[in-house]
Amino acid sequence: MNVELPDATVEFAAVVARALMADDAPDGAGLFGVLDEMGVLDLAGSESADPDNAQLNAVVVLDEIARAGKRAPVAETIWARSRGIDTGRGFVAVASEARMAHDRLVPYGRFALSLLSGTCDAPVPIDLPADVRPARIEIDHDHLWLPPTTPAPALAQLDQAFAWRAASAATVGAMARATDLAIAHAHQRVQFGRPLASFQALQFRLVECHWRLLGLRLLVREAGWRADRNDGRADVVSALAWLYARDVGRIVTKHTHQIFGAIGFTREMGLTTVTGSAATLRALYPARDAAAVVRAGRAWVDDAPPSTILGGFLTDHQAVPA
Amino acid sequence: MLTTVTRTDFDFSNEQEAFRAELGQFLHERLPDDWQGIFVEGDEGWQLSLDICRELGERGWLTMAWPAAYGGQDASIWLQAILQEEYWAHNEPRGPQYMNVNWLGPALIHFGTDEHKAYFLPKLAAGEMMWAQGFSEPDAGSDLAALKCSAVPDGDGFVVRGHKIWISYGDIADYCFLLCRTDPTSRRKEGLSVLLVDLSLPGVERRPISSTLGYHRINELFFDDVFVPRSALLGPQNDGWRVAMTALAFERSGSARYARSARTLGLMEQRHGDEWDDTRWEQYASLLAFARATELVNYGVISKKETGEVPRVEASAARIHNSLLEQALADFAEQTTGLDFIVYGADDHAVDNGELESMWRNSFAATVTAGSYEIQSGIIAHSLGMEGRR
Ligand SMILES: Cc1cc2nc3c(=O)[nH]c(=O)nc-3n(C[C@H](O)[C@H](O)[C@H](O)COP(=O)(O)OP(=O)(O)OC[C@H]3O[C@@H](n4cnc5c(N)ncnc54)[C@H](O)[C@@H]3O)c2cc1C
Repeated sequence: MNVELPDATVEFAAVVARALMADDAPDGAGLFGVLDEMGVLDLAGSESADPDNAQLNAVVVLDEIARAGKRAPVAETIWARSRGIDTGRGFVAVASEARMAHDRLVPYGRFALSLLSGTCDAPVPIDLPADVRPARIEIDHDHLWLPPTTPAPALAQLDQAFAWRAASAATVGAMARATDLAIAHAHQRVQFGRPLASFQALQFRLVECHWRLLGLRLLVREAGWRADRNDGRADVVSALAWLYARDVGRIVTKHTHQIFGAIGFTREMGLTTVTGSAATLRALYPARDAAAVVRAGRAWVDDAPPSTILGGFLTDHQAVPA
Repeated sequence: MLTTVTRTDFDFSNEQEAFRAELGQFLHERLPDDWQGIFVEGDEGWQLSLDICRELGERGWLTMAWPAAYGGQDASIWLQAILQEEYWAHNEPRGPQYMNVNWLGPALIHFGTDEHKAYFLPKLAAGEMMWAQGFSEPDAGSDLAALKCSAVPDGDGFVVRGHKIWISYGDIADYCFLLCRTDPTSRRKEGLSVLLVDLSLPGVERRPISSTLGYHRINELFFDDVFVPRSALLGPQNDGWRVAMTALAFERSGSARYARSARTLGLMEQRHGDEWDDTRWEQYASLLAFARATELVNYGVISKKETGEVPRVEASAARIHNSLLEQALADFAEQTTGLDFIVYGADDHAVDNGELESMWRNSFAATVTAGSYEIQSGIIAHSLGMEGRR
């Protein structure tokens, strides 16, 4: 047992983080190119430089990208390339699943040049119709809202366990960013003659953000690590990661907004962007499916319940056909 | 420059799992079916705990990760983690002796003289010595630095006078890890020392405090001019705060309380899972997720310890996870187990010998004992650069 990251992963994540943090780091399309050059988009594909840790590296990097406040459909592209799908000019958006309440909501659709359509096994890139325009909804997410007149394509479904890991990693990064922003704000904003950060009630909110993220991050990494090994519990741990990410996302969102006060709701602060993007992920990947996978995987050998959480799951359980 | 290569691994090895199975089997056979731990079992439980600890000591199953020179086997710290998990999951058959391994032994190894090590460590490894932690006082709870218990240097020793309260196992312990003021002119964290006090010395009085928390749980210790030899001093005189804080950091990270939570979750599922609808299962699955995150944070602390660090902030985070998990379980039990959670073990209607009830009742103390939730949060806030009046 050793829950520390491999050295190569730490180094790679640091390189990516530096590129993301650079003053002139681009967003959207430009960022996509930069990440492509660094090999991020091929992390889990046949060109991967570190195939043994492909999924672990993917979640670590997705976390970094979200923490830097950058947005592009990176997870979708990593996934598509891992399946040998030619993503062409790069941008690809994947509608997550047909079961969601609004199956016309496409993550990162605003950036997309093509949509992956079809089933998980045989996704087909399709060009977006010219009349499809991103619709603005209240919170500024990077999604695309297909107008009702457009027949919704048979949208591709991300491999569910991958989606849970990617969504969890993006949630950790986004919530870490929200926490970073809130800590900085708490130091800078003065009320009653003292910085907000000196009030214990607010400190404790930030402390909870911190320890929740510590645990969540480890869980997300474990999910990636198990996926790399085709471990029988990879899907279950991915589902657990996503269930916890959903809870942590809600908790951190409430705490950080509370710390910002009114100014947190302005677009300039950037807080609603990160908290909103995490909320979008929660809407796209319901808890129901993850809980069903967890439930289906529960079993233990002896009469007495096990003394570890994973001891309570079948080891050969595959929730989603690969 | 030499670089270390980290091999990430979220599993215990096969040999470690085999050891877990062997240990689990032993505990299953050795403990009565209705074993609930010494807080529930009273004097009989305490005697059984002593017997079992001796047996565990004979098998070398108490202090495996300690250096061989101190009665250990130089085993991996992860084997020690498995020991902790299995004991906690089996309602801690070691009773107070879990502390010996968790924080007392490590503190003795860290700060003790050769004589301390030679005298105490073999006894701890053999499972034949019980300790109490004498920190809290009536006017010094969270604000421990306000403590008044004095140990005035006198010839070749100290004369101890004072009153300690809420001391777990104070009624049965052989020795006390006593934090007291050795410089009478000092204030707050200065001028404190740790003394290893034999509780059979003249002038020591023990008084159990009646409470809802169970037997041996909380006691008062009175020291009425107790003469303690100088050899009882652990670490430098007047630098006891550092000694105590190091011991506390070991304490917060060493206890595998989360393993008992894993077992309790399983118990609830076993009895009631079939009755739960999808929404309840969603809630339960989320609880399992939090519990797994909790395990991992504890493993993170152990990974750090393996490198020789004393992980204070991570230990506080682990402690918060462990205690809030217990309370989350208690909430879930209230919502899902009908009357199970409220029927005491001695009652004819008790389910699983009242295990759930005991968990529920004690869960409220989880965020108070061993450094409260607020104190742990303060430690983390400090590490995040947040200061101010607390
Ligand atoms: C089951 C149990 C076993 C124990 N065993 C031992 C033992 O073996 N040895 C020992 O020495 N002690 C023991 N204790 C005592 C324990 O360490 C204290 O209860 C603890 O330190 C809190 O002190 P207190 O009870 O006096 O509460 P107080 O210090 O009065 O605090 C009451 C509440 O106020 C909060 N609070 C206090 N100050 C602040 C602040 N500045 N900011 C925010 N919140 C604050 C606390 O967190 C707590 O929630 C035990 C306690 C329990 C419940």
